[in-house]
Amino acid sequence: MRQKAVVRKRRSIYIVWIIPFVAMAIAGWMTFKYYDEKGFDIVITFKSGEGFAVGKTPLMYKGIKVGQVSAIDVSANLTKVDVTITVDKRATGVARKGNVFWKVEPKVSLTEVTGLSTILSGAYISVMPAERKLSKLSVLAYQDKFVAVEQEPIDIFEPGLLVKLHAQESGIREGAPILFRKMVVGKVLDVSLEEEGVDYLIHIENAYRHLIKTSSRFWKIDGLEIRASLSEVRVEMDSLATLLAGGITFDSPREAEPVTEHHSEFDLFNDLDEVNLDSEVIILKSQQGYNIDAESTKIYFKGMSAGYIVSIDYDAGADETTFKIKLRSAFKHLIHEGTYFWAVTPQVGLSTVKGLDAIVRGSYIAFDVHKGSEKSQKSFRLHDVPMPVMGKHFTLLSKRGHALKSGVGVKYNDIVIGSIYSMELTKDKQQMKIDIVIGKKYEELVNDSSTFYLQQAIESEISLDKMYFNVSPIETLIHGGIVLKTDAIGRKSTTRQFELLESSAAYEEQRYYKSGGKRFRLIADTLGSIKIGSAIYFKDIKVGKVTEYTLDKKSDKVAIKVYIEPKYADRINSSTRFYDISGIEIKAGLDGVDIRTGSLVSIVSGGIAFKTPLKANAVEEMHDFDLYKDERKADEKHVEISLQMDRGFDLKEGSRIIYKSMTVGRIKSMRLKGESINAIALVDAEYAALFTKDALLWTEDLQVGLEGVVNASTMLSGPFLELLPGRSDELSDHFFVSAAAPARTIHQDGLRIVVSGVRLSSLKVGSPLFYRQVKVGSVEQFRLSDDARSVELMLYVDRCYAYLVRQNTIFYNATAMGMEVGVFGVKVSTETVNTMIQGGISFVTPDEALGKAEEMRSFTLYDKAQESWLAWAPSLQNDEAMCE
Amino acid sequence: MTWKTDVSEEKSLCRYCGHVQEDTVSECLQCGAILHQRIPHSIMLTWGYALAAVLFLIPANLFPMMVVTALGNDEGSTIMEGVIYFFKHGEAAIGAIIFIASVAVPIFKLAVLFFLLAIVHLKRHDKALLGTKLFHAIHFIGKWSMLDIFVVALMVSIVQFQSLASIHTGGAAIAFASAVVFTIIATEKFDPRTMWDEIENTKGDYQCVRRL
Repeated sequence: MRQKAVVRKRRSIYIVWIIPFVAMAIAGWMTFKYYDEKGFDIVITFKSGEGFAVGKTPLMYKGIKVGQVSAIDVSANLTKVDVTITVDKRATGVARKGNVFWKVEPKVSLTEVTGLSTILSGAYISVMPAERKLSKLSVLAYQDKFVAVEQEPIDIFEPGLLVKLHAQESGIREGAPILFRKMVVGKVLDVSLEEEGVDYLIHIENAYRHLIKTSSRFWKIDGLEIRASLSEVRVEMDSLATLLAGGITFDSPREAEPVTEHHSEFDLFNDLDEVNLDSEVIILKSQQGYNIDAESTKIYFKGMSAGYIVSIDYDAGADETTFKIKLRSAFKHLIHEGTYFWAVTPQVGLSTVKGLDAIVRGSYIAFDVHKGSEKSQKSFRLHDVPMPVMGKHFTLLSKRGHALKSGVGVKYNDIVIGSIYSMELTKDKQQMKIDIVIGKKYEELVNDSSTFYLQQAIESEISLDKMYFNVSPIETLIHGGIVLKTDAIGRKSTTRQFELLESSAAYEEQRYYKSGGKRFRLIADTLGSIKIGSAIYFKDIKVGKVTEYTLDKKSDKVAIKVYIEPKYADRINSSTRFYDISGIEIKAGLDGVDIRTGSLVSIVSGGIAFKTPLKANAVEEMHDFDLYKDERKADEKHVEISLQMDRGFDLKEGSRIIYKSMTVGRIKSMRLKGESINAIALVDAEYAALFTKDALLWTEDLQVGLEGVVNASTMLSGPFLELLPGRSDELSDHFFVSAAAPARTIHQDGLRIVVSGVRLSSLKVGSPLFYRQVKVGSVEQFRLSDDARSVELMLYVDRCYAYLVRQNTIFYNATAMGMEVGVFGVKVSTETVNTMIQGGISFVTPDEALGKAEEMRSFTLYDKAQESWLAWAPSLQNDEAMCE
Repeated sequence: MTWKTDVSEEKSLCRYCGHVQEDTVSECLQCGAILHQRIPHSIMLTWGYALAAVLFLIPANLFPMMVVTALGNDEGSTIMEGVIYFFKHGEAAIGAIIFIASVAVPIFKLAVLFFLLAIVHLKRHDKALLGTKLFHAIHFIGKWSMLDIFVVALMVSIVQFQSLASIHTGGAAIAFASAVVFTIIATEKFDPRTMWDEIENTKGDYQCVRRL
């Protein structure tokens, strides 16, 4: 028992020692752990120790603390700071060659805010191992001295795709987003300057890495895009991030192979336009630089942006500027032998405005193809004048140059269809000859119905009845321009010469004229309130307007050109009277006050009215009319007379009254009154004096006789009334129209004598009176004698022959034909053949002539002359002074 | 030998009820408790516990006692760092208290223990009286040595502001607590009477020695 106990107790003694051993084990383990955790020291050199605190600032790896700053010292050369970090023993990988350390601070950049947590917790140091796998990392050489990098290095182990982009120039910042259909799929990790431009390293997130295809094309996008042109200003804005840092986007052909390898290299284009650029470089050579800026200058083809200038070099030796340009693939085929390049530069001078568009978008290079060719050519000369337009040439004539310049466009419906090729004076130096070229495909727009007019920058018309403004584009304001209007497209084109009208108003006017309107000239003493555009009224209907007025220097009168619309043009004839209806006319007299006004419009802007009282013959274009001061004056112009006639004589309204081949009046109306016809005729006031009491009026009609055709004109104009004014001073307004013409001698100064014959024979009014077969007078009237035993003929002897008629003169009928039949044949004696038909009277005076016969002396008319009479040859002296 | 011990007088003290009797009996005549003339294996146990305490003191002073997490940043502080912190910030009194309670006292206690053990082993009976006084001193202050642990416990429970700031115990706390506990046990296991004993009792059990 005791023995047993002893044994037990002895055993328990040794168990006691377990306690310190356990304690030692625990403490030892803890101590070991402590030192184990305390790790090892590495030294990292930073540029500055700002934000670091000994014992506080941690070394983090993926957000986990793997060490702590244990000491901060200024480096030996005092320029940097050596930070000693005690690294967790576990994180042995930290001290491996190739690892990268950097300071994480709160950073607010353009594109992102990073390290926000460090604002409160303070900066920390982060580490990125050189290798992804621990096994690989541990193989690397041990290193405990590092130099920290400035910025967070690219985490090459982040899942995703790293792509390298080459660009000509920078413009995208680190952190800028990579967008695909405006979705952020990655970001720019690094920008580095290389020998040939700039290299970007971009990271595409894993989820989108399949979007990068072998044929993907990358281009820069700007956050803000402002396109300004004359027509619009457009501002496009992407995200704020792209606005500040720029961005990159790309396209990916669906069928292409996705990129799998890291660091695949792509080109980064400046913009989408450049993406489509053809790789081939075209060289243009020129003597000057044209102020062209390689950065912003584009190449245009027919106004379309077709390419860019890659570079501009000046060769001092050859004194030549070489432009290297790249064109979009779509325009590649246009570059061949027949391509013409020219520089468009704004030229603004006192007399020249050229390349206005170039003011806005800067000088640029344009090209066009002037002939098709398959032959490839890569080097061209850059011309400084635009390519001559290929097309049809036309000539415009203009009185003035209108500040037009060659190159100014010809527009049709605001489309430029051609341009002025050249301008020169005509040979007579009176007009400008403008040679225009109309593009081939627009040639058919020009035909005989075409009109060219000068486009004016601002066309305005303000009047009481309308306001009209037409402001042309700015271009026209400076350039000027020519507008083509073609009324009927497809009409034949025969002429190549046109008149260049001054304005669209002139064109409109000419259109009127072409459609049948007429122009007349009104002559007035003063212009009054009439101005261009003043209306012409007919029965208060506006039928035309004043187009122009000039002062006739010779007559010192104003010539007003008026235009009458076609449908009213026939209202104008020779009887038309124009009178001024401008203003207000007030006449005050004993019998009252008479106020006359036209319409309000005519009061202000002047107006002309006309009335056409008669159906007279039409007048030609530009006929001169008098412009009367007012309607009354116009009315005073005519005197009405009434005519009475037995028959109508085919007269009608408008038939003329003629005196000495001059129209002095016209029939205004004809009316049947009882058995006779009553006609009212209007006679020009200036001829009213002709209508004396003893004036004769008769109808003249076509007469065909042996003597010829008389009054042939009546065949066309119809019968007319002939007037023979009398000798009386007294005027009359009532006349009787006789059917036959009175003797021509009536009312003439001369000797009148009366002869009495047995019969009239073939004598009639007008039958001639001969003296020695010289016609010295005619039969003026004949009538039966009062007792009807004889015929009394009143003979008229011309004043200059009156001295031939003596008191003992013998008259005989010359009509009588003597026919003597004898042994020697038949002797026919007659005065003339004419007298055989017409009849005639001859007279002889005995040798012993008596004194001159007095007026209305009666003689006997013998039927035939006696042989002896014919031998008489008295010597008669004419004492009338006026007759030689 | 100028003094008598229970051993020399062949008496045995019941440590349970304090009854003194002949050392021939193995059970207390009064209360029936098993009698030991000395605490069994006293020296060896003291050595063991004292050594354990010493061992624990090392991590206790190396590790942070308290970890303050402020704004996600951990900041541990060891006992001495805490003391230095208070002294630096003008709180010398608190610093002194913590220093005394957490550094000076545990080390003092262990030092005394080793001193006592040295007295026993070297039979320096002349130092036995001093040793006894020191023994009672460390026995007395033993209960106050957990002061630092209380402070930490209080702080941990009070400063809990989630992510803004929180305090939790560091590894040192356990080590320190262990060191204190082992020091107390070592003190308890030490029998000051052994300092007066003539016989070298490496095993600490007179009965056994004698009986063998």
